[in-house]
Amino acid sequence: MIPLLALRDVHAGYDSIEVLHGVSVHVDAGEVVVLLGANGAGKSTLLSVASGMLVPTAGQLLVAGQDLTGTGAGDLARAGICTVPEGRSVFPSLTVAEHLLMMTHRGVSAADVEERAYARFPRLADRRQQSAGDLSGGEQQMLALARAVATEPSVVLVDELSMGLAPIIVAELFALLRGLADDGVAVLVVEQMAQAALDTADRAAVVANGRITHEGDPERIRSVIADAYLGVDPLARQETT
Amino acid sequence: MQQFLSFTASGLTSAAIYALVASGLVLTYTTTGIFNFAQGAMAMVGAFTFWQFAEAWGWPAPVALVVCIGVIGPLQGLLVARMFQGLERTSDTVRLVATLGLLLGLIGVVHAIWDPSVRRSLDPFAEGRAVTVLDVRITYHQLLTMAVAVVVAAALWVLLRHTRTGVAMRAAVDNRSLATLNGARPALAGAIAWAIGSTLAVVSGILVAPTIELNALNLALLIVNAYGAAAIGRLRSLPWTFVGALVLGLTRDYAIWLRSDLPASVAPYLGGLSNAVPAIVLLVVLVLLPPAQLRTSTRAVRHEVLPKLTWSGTAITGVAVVVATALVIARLGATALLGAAGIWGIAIIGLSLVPLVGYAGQLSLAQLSFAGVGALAYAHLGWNHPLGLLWAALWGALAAACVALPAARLSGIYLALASGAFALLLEQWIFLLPEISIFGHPFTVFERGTMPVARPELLGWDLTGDRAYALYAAVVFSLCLALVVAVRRGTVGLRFVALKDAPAGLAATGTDAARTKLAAFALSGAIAGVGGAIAGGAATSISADGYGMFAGLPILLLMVVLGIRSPRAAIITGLVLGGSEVAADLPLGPLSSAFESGGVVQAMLIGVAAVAMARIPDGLLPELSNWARGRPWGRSGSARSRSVDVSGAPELVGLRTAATATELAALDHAIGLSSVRSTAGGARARG
Repeated sequence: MIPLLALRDVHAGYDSIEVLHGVSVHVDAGEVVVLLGANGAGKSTLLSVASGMLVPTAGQLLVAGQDLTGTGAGDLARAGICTVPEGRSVFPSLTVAEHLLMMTHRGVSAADVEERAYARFPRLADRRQQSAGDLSGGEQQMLALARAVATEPSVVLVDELSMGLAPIIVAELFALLRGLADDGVAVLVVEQMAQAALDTADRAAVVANGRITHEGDPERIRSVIADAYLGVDPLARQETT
Repeated sequence: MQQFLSFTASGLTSAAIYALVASGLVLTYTTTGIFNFAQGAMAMVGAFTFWQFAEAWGWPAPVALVVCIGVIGPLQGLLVARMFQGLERTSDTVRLVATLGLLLGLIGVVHAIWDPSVRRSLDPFAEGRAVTVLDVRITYHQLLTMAVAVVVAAALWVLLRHTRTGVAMRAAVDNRSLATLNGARPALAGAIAWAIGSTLAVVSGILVAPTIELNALNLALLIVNAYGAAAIGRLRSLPWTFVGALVLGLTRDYAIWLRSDLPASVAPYLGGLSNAVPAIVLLVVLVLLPPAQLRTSTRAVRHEVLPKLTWSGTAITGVAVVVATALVIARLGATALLGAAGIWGIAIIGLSLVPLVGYAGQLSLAQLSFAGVGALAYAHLGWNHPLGLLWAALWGALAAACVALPAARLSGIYLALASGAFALLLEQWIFLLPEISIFGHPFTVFERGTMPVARPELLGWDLTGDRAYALYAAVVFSLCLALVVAVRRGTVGLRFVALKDAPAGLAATGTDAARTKLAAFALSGAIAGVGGAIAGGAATSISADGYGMFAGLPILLLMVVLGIRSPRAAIITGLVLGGSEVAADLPLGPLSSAFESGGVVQAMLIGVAAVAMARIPDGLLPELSNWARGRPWGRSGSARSRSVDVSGAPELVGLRTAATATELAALDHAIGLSSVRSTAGGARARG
């Protein structure tokens, strides 16, 4: 089976500083893959490459087997890669309804977008004419995720889903991602809050110092994350030497 | 009553023009984050091209109109969008200067094509035809103007609120990269916004031109009045912008009406006030409006280069300035000598911008007004001793404090607008006041339009001669340079830089941000005041029209273009802007036209350079010194090279290059981590 999303031996960074030193990840349709790692490990950089925000210096970005390396983020978004960046990824001065109007870039009509978004997140319907800047953190994250729900994407990339949110909301949002995957979407999630993410994941990988140090089923990763969060894993180092 | 109605009608027409201009401003600001000071200049281009088509070439008016609105307007907007590409990621100062540069550049272009000494006028549409409502005659042209404003208001509202393109345009300003992730095309949205903004400017220019003489400066400046309307809309709300336009248009025309009814005793004092109504409205609005959602410089992602200043370098520069002045003035003729001292007056005013704009990041459009107040104080003092400059400095500082105090919580473009309104207020009202009585003492701001300025004498050394005064001016410049360097190297300078870079961090160190801002303004105003006094002494007299807001723009522009954080930029600014007489006397050939003050060549050169700021945001001098050190185009690259705008700070691993496992092991060992790790590994093995 050809994975929906694949990064092959990607090197990337900012200015002269290389952050990713040859990373390969793939996500199949219907799969939730979680990337774990400490602050500064390179997880968000990896997601930037996958979303097209950052062009890798070497390596490939493959979508459904097609090489789309160097394609702009806007084009990838229209092609069905839905990215939910870290933090409150909403436009503070736009209302909820205007956010939903923005989500018609994939050809889903404004009415359909509203219907799907409100069906999944009824709270947003009550806030229809409010500026996104006035919403609570959880509501903002819902609004950001509405894009994943309403635009029929084939790939969903989520950066730090849980950041600053109450655990109960985090569980709700992970359940939502699970549901998307069950409908055939490829979901790649970058997380620091490992436990909740691993409960949802089909597969997981640990990123440290710009490399993937471990990869496998969530249970195996659960046993090594303590080391991963402290820095470079001595076991991984032995493997590479 | 009838008068009231007829002034209401004319007020509504003014309001319609303001609304058209201000909505163009708001549109480009909400979609690109750039406040377009050149909106009036774009209107001017529209009016002049329409005149060319309809009057000079005799095209039928509808054809000329269609070409102007359908071709010239959008084309001008697209060109500007292209020029300003990359500007979103620069600081407020650079963005401000780029549009001010466009303003000067367009005036230069219009002057080059249409000789300003020729009088031109446009006829109103449907000339002579009018309707009478309640005994008030309203011309078709007035009706048309109002109708266009209403249609534009409705169309813009629908575009920005109810179409995906419009919403995407607004989204791009909130978060450019997130808009991209939503499938929007921010560059395209920006281009559309510029095209619409420019077209609105062209329309307003064509509509307003028949009511005033077709004069480039008049047109470009008339539009300044619309800033107040945009400010009432807080630069983002179109409905409020239209309310603002109504308030502004009606207030201005009622003020003209009231002026005619004023008693003779106060008329001369308040007469000028009616002209200054738009400036007053702008100032009041900026000071009163809640500061919520002000966009500040936080979106600028570039690191700005702050050149290091050494005492030895400063000493060399100071001595070189004095020696070079001494050498050059020895060979100048009488006419050229007159201008020689003025160079240093302008250079000092330019220097005054360095601590305020360069270090503290506070924008000021009133620098020449501070200089004017200093010059006035010095002239009124009439003490021909160099210490009289301290008096000028004091008054310059007080004037600057007058801006800083009410505007303490403003920053970025709002502060620039407030300082600009202050400058307009001085220029259009205070400087023009007739004799007033202060506690029984008669006092005239400018006696009969001009004030004589005495040149000083020091310890029996006569500095009134042109040569001696030019040398004295050079010495004063060098002393001011030393002052700026001392500030930069001391704690005060650090606080200024902190105020710009991290106001919250400054507060965390126990320093009051508002007080630091006040200090920056006062210091800058003081230096500007000294500059004004020196320039006044160079010309031996000062006049009210020499200290307007627009007269001061070239100084700010040139300083930013050259490098606002480089005190030496002031020397070149002085030479370029004040050196026309001197340059004419030197064998410079065609180069000398660049020094012709207020000349077309100079205006265009400064305009082009300012517009190029998107490529060299740190200014020419730092860029050149980088280049000389073999680091072409900057340590951090030009703003443009960062075409990929990543949301959030890049996460760095802390290592510049990839380390091998052996190196990492060695590093772990060196910092004592290896034993900890092996213990952890052992614990897991046991578990």
